[in-house]
Amino acid sequence: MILLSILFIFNLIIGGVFVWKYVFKSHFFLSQAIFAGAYSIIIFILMVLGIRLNSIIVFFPLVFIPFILYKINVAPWTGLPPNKRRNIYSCLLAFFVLLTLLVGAAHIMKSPVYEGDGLAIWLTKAKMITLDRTIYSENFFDPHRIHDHPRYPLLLPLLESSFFFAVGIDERLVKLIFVYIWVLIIGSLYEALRRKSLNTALASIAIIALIPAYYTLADGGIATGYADIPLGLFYLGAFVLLADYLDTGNRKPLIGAGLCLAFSIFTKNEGLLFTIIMFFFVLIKKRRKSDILITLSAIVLPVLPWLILAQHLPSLYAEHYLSYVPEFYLYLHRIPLIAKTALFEIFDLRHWGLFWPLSIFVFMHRKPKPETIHFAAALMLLIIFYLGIFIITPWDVEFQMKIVYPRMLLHIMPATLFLAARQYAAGAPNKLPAQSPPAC
Amino acid sequence: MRNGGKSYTRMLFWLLLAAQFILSLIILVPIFYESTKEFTASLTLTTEQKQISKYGHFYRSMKDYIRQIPAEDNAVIFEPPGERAAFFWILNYFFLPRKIYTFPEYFMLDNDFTAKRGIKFVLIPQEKRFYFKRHVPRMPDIMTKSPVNFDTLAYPPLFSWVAPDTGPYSLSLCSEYAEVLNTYRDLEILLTDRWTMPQGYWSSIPRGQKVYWFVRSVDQDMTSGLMVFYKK
Repeated sequence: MILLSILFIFNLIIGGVFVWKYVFKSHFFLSQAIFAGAYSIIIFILMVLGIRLNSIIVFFPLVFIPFILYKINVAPWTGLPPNKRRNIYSCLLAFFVLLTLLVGAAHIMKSPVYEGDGLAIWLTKAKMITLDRTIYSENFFDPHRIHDHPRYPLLLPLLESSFFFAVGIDERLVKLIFVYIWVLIIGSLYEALRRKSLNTALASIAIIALIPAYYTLADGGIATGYADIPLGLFYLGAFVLLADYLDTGNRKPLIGAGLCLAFSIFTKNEGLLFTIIMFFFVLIKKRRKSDILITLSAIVLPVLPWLILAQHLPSLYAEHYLSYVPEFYLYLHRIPLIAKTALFEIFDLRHWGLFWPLSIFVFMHRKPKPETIHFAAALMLLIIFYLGIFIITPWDVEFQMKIVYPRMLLHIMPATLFLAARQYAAGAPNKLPAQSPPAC
Repeated sequence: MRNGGKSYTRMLFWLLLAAQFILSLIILVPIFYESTKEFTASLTLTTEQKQISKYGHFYRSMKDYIRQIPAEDNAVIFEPPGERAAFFWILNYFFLPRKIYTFPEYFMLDNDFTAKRGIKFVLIPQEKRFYFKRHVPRMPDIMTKSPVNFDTLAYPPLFSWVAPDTGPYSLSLCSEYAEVLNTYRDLEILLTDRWTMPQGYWSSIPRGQKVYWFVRSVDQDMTSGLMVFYKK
C-alpha cells in the first residue's frame, strides 16, 4: 500500500512536471498545484460524462511520461536550487526547513484523519465517490441519504477518492495528499521569493513551516484532513501568478492565476468570494482589456460543470446564509464581539506565534508599492467579508468564530507571508540573476 | 528596512523574527515529541441523538475495525451490510495522560433507523481488544402541542410540547424528503419546552411548503409524533 501511495503521488508529480515543462516554465511547484486542481476537474468531468472511475483511470497522468522525457534535456531540478548567493546561513536555513518538514510530516502521518469535518464532510464524500465510482448515485442525490453539506465543492474529495482507487481506503495514508500540498505551499513560496532574495525566501519558508496552527489546529490543521490547506495553496498561487503577471505583463501567469481562482472555487465555497475580489483586482490592474476576458474564461470554464451540477444537489436550509442578509441590521450589536474575537485570534501566540504582528510591522515600516497595497487590500476585503458572515450567522457567534476564524486565517496566511516577504525584499541590493551556476 | 532603516527598528524586526522562531519551537517541539510515542485508544459507538435522524455517513473502514473485535459475552458483532443503522463512533486517543482527544466519526449502515433506535452500543477497551455492550435506554413520550397538525402559518411559529422529563431537547424540521434543520446539530440544545423559529429560517422556507416537525429528548434517544404545518 505504501508503494501504491508513493506511486499515486508520483503520478501527480508527473502531471505537474508536464505542466511545468510545457506551460509554466518558471513555476515548478505552482505547476504541481495547477495540475492537482486540473486533475480533480478532469476526474469530475469524466464522471459527468458518465465514465465510472477505476484504478486505471486515476493513473492517467503517467501517459505524460514520454512527453516529459522528450522535453527534458537537463535534470528537472536544474534551476530549482538557488544560485551563487548560497552561503553558510542559507545552507543552515535550508537544512532547518527540511528537518522541520520531515518531523512535521511524521507528525501529520501519525494518526488517521480524525476530526469531525475531515471525516464527516470531506472523507465521507471521497468514500461515497469511491464506493459508487461516480457522483451520480443516491448517496449524493437522494435527500433521504443527505450528508453534511451536500453542496460543498469536490476538489479535495476527488483527490482523496482517486487516492483510494489507487491504494484502497486508508484514512492514514490518504494524508500523504496533505503532506504533498504542504510541500507545494512551502515550495511555491520559496520559488516565488528566491528571485528577490534567497535568505528572505529561506527565512519565509522557515517561518511558515513552523507556524504552530498548521500542526495544532483541531479544526483545519494539516493533520485534520480539512480543505483549508488546499484552499490556502490556491490563494497563494493566485497571488504569486498575478504578481508575476504585473511584473512581466505575460498572459500565461494570468491564465494560471485564473485557474488557481477556479480551483479555489472548486475547493471551498469561500473560494468564490476570493475569486470575485481578485477578479475586481484584475479589472483594476489589467494591462490590456482582453486580459479581463482571458481571466474570466480561465476562472469560469473549468468550474462551470460543477456550478451547474451543484444546483441539482440537495441543500440544507441551515446553509442558506444569504437568506439572513436582509436581517443583518438586527445583528449589528455583534460587531464588537466579532472584532474582539478576531483581534484576540490574531495575537494568539499558541496558534501563530508573532506572525501577524511581524507582518504588520513589515508593511508599516516602509511605504509599500501600489500593487502590494492592492494585494493587501484584497486580503483585507476578504477578511472583512469573512467576518461579515459572523454577523448574519444563525450559530452562536463566539463558538463559530472560535472554530472557523482560525481556519480563515490559515487560508490567507501563505499569501500574506508572500506579500510581507516581497515587501521586505523590495529594494534588496542583491537581486539574483535568473539563472546562474550552482555554487555549493 | 534593509537599506537605510533605523537601527532600532531593524533591531526590533530581528527581535520579532527571533521571537517568532523561538515561540514556534517552544510550542511545536513538545507536540512533535509526543507524536513519536505510541498511543492507546478507547472506542465508543453509540446511537447518539444527533445521529438517529436521517443523517448518516458511510464509513467503510469501520467494518475493518469491527471485524477485529472478538465475539465475547455481551459483545455484538455487526455484519454489514446485513443490518442498517446510523451510529456514532467516538475514538479517543490518549497522547498524554491529561490530554484527551475526542474524535467523532460517522458511518451509516442502513436507512432503517427506527429498528435500532434507542439501542446504545459502547465499545470498551480491554488492553488491545475492544467489544461493545448493548444498552436499551428509557423512552418517555413527548406530546407535541403547537403548531397543530395541518396548521397553516403566516409567521415564524412558536413550537411547544409536553414532556415527562426536563429535557434538554432537540427539534427537527423536515421537508418531504429530508431533515433540513436539527436544533441540536445546527443551532443549540433546547432547555425549555418551547422554541420560536428564527426569522432567517422562516424566510428560507418556500411559500406553500409543507414542513414536518418533531422533537426529541436529547439524552433519552426517543422521538415524539410527527406534526405538519404549511407556510402560508
